Amino acid sequence: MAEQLEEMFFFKGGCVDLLGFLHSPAHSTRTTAIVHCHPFAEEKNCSHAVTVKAARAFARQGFVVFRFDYSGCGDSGGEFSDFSLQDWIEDTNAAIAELKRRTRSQNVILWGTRLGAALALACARDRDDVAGLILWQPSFHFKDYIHQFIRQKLVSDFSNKRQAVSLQALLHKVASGGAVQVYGYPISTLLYASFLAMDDAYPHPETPHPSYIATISNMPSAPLQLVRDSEWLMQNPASSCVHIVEEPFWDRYWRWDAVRTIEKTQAWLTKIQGG
Amino acid sequence: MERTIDFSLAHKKLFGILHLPENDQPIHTFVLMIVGGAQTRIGSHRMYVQLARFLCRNGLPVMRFDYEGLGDSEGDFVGFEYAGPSIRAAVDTLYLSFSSLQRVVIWALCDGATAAILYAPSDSERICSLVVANPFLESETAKAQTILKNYYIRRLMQADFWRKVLTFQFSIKESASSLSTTLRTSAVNAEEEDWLHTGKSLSQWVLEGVNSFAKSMHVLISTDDIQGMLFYNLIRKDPACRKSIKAGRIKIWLIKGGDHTFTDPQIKDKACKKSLAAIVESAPGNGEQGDLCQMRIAAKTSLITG
Repeated sequence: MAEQLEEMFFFKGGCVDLLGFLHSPAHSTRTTAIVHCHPFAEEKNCSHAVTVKAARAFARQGFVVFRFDYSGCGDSGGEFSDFSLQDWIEDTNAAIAELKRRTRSQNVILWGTRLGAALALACARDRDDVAGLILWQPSFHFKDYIHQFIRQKLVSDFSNKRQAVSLQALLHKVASGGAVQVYGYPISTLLYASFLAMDDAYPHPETPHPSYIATISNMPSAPLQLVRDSEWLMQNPASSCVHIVEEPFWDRYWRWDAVRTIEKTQAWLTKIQGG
Repeated sequence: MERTIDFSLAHKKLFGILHLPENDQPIHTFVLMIVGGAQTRIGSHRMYVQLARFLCRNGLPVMRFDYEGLGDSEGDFVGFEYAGPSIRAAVDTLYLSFSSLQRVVIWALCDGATAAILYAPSDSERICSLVVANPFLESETAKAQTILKNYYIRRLMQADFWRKVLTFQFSIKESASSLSTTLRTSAVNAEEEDWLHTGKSLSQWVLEGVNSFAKSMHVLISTDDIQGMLFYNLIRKDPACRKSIKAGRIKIWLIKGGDHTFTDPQIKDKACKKSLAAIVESAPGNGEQGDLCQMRIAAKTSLITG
């Protein structure tokens, strides 16, 4: 892979040392870089191959791309249950600072997948160096998302023939100081409360930045909720909302590519940043 | 201390993480972790990260890495069948990076464990031991036989099954159809399964690997994992393996109630402790590094006897 340099390193995050991965094109004059905000829990692992493929494709277009792991996730320091969504937004700010320290990037396009898209949007609100947002199959409703995630415990308990309790009982447990284990991920009271707080703080996914919203599924059209959400995001004339018929790659393994999603995102990048 | 590392395999860059104990002891033994399936060096629910940190806290240096085409490493996905060159490149890198290194223990799960078993006999000078968890066997025949033995027979012994039969909640048609399919599959000769057109099944290659690797091997089997039980049945049926088990070269640790990736936190904790005990037992006479591990194990966990 001679046309780009890839480096992996640890850097100081908001709370602990974070793992960063930098894709630098060999020859580029661009000063806008792309920073990736990864999805939640196992969705991060499942989508990793497609994320890496997309990062390499964007780097071939001349963009510096920076991927990193949030505190308590991936290779970064700490335990998953010890952090909140606010910590992960601070990590994103720390990642942008590290990117600027290492490269001559001045602006960033925040690229997020699923919950990462919502965190990218939240982070963008308080920054003046954001040139755009790439939001893949975004999950903007924090409370719904975490409840849906916890609901999976009921499914796994049922399939493992364990005594399943109700969703209400699980929510009561996590709200009152007890962690709930979902497929090996401990949802702590701290983490759960941060989802509720984000839901209150960001009731609508608004942004003035040019945004590329991609809904991705095998179905012929996008889910209604995402169509409604995207209306809030279309304030900038350069924004675009598309539905891409492609295999979801964040909720199952053995997905190595998302050709259409990557190509269409590259075309949007060319449109707003030039060839 | 955790450090990033990268190394080359035929012009492709592979990436990994080193976990180095916070002491000045010379490193004699390294644990190399091989991932399975489509996983990266993180592992499902960060299992690889947590195990590596646990081993490192107990004095053992560890390297996790993405083999060719996985995770952050370059190349297209090659699968466990072709992971051998990546494993060799990782071992070479460890020996080049740590001059005091004398031996490597491989810890691996799922088809990473299968890759390790296939690789180890070709590098037995440097690989002193294997710790393999729920190794993968691509055999529909053996899988059906395992389901027969571990599901249907066990089901007949359960009160819940007979309660369903007596209260007419048991679907005879559905269950008979499922049993019939399993029986038909289990009757196919395993030798007919030709792995990678080699004329042998993967199970045969794995047995050859297990038997030709003369060093110690620890096998962690989750009792609720069909893959693990499949491997367990395979080595217990093989005469040469049985001899090695009797002689103590192969040790089997059954993890009751565990699933394929040790999802439950208590089971994961148990798997981590058994792994630590197995690694330390595999690399005796390890100088100060070994003594340090032994002391820490004595302080934190009791050694497991099976």
